[in-house]
Amino acid sequence: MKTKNHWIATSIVVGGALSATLGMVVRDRMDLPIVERVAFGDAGPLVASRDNSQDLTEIPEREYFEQMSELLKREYVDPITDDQKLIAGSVRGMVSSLEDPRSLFMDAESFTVFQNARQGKYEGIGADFKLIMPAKAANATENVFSRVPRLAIAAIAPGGPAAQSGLKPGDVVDSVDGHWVVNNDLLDEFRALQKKVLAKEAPADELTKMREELRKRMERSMMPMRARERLVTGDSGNVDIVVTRQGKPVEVKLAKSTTSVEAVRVEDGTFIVHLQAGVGPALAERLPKSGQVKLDLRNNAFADSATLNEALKALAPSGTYGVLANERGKTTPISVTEGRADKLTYTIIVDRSTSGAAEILALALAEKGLAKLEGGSVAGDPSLTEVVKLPDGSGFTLHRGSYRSEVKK
Amino acid sequence: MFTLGYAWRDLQTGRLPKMQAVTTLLGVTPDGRSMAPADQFQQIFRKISNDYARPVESKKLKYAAMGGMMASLGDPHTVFLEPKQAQEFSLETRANFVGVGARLAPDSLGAKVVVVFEDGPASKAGLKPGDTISAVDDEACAGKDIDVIVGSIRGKEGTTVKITVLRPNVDKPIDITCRRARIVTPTVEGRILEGEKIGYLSVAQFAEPTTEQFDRMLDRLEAQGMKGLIIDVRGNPGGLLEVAKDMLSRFVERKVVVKMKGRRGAEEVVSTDSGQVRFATLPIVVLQNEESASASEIFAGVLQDYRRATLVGDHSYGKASVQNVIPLIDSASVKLTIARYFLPSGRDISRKVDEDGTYVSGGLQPDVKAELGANAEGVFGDPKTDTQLQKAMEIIRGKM
Repeated sequence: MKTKNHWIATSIVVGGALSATLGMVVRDRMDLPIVERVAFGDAGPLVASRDNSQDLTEIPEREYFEQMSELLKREYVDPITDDQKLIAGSVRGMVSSLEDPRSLFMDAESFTVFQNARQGKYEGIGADFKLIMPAKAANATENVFSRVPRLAIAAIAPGGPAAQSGLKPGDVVDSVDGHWVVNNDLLDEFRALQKKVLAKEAPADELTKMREELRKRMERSMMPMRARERLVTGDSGNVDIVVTRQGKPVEVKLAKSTTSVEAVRVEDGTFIVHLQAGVGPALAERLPKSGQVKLDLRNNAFADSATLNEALKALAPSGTYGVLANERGKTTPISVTEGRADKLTYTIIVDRSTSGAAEILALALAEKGLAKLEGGSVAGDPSLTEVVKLPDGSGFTLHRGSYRSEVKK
Repeated sequence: MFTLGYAWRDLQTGRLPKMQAVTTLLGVTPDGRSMAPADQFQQIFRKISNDYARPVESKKLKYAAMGGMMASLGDPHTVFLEPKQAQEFSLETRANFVGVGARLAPDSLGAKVVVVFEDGPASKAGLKPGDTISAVDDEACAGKDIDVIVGSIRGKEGTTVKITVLRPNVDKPIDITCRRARIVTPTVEGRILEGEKIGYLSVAQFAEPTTEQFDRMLDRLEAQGMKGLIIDVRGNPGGLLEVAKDMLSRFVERKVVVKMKGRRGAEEVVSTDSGQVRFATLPIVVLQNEESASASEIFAGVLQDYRRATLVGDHSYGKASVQNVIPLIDSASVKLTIARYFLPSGRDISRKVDEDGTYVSGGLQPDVKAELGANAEGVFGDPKTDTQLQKAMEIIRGKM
């Protein structure tokens, strides 16, 4: 919370880089109560009174939720009738508090788009995105900016607008339709420059110039999740994107459209696989009975565990293919029952756009000696994520754990 | 062995990994009855605490849920304050603090001293406006958030703090040691602008002593032959409605200030007093910016509605609601909007923002828009650099 009434008040002025950044996301001013506090005779057990304000009892979450929603319904200026909205809001709060780019809350509209993409039906520019959390800069002070992730392209839907325009996995999105996608990097640069100026290693007017630049960008800016939404929704209209690729800006103009991606497509004998519902049967039907098969697992950024299971079952004999381990010391085997009777071997093409379940699939098959990986190195994120849908149509992803081969202890 | 056994049990009960593409929480019990909202919430709460890849602190998760629930109402002023925030908030709503008595602004090199309170510890120790604080207790300030710097200067009453400042035209940094003391913040400052008959009066907030300080400053400016008045509420976050009303009573008599509409339908009207008018015709310009909120907007908006002042600057914040803070038994608290208010003209000034909290519309629109030049940063009220003040002076000269 940002309050502005210290005895030594922060007369924050428009134009100051700090005021611009801080004022942006968390904009809440101090409200000296303008009316006397109303009486809370019937306020319920959660509300403090003279008798119980020293009581530090931990209230269980269920009661807390119940009493808080009653309190809001009774006191808030507008009538509150939609309990689902309160529930969805609380879930959004919980999921965000994990501060995990793999665990994301989506409102009903975004969640539908997300689910469609999981079925191979893309909108917008036809790409999957990932969030990259900033590395915590040494000596950086906590501010609202320090937790803003970067938005990057994780995978490209083949044949879609992004693919045609030459966008690539790994491209970091800098701006969308002229709106700067907010991130921490520029502020870090600003801080570094401040230090230099203080040490008289750089002239002070450079700092003024940079502050002005920051201010200008903040005036037309967009948070990463909103930019993502703009890029993955809609089937018409144009969008201008500037990305950073290997340190250089690349500007791309493209027209949004829908893109359909098949679970399995065979091209020149290579099985191009998109991990989505139905991938298991599609593979089982088209794979040969024996020999060596070439699989292309690129552009697979996200799939859930059910999809991983059906793909593994179609590709590999019964057995255990490593474990899913989490940071609580819990491991679960990744097992195949009723797998293939024969033993196909694979050459799997991977690169940085192979992540999540696809990465697990590639690593697990390679670990068992069933596959040889080629192409490039995988994304380095063999994580499995659960998708949870709420009654109001919103939903969230929840990071469950990461792949580990059995051999490691 | 332990690991395997554990995993086996999980697999048997189908808990991990989930063998379905989407876990659907439909809000119904196994026998088909719809679940109570609190039960639905608990179900998801447990899912996250049990299944997330990392350990989750349940208190943190619970408070995050409450924060999210309140945010879902879409009102930026309705917020959940965790115990620590709640404590800080209640400290700041009391108007006196332990400190050294100065007002700071952000600066590239640390913090710029904008005002040094008369007779305060900083003033006695020799701190001057225009100094730049580069270190506090030998810890460098460059790159630090202004709030962090302020926090390090504050402390226990009676203790000392060493402030290192850079002063224009002085080669070496100067160390100033102040003894922290209880400070009553002056909320009104003013002077006659050099060479003109324009009174300049800045109001930092609408606190209890503000009306008295306001009256005293008006006396002083009047005695110096003021022919026009600029009232500066830029950066003023608001305060007590009662105080704003008393101050407005110096300019307009028995006029509606605001109408408040609460949840229970009751409408309350606040009006200015009679017999308190001191300046019925004195030309007035009110300077405001996006940081002017709440009581500031009432003050400026009422003068604008009754054509008693010209508003200069940027649009104001757009706070058109009344909040109440309700303490909870675990030391957390809830700040929530309990009423809305309307200016005499009935217009709606409430702030509209997009999903990211960026301003879209709302607030009082100035009669004359003026932007603050890049060089004025940090210091309001200097006719040489403050371009909004320059505009205000130009307008008031035309009326005098």
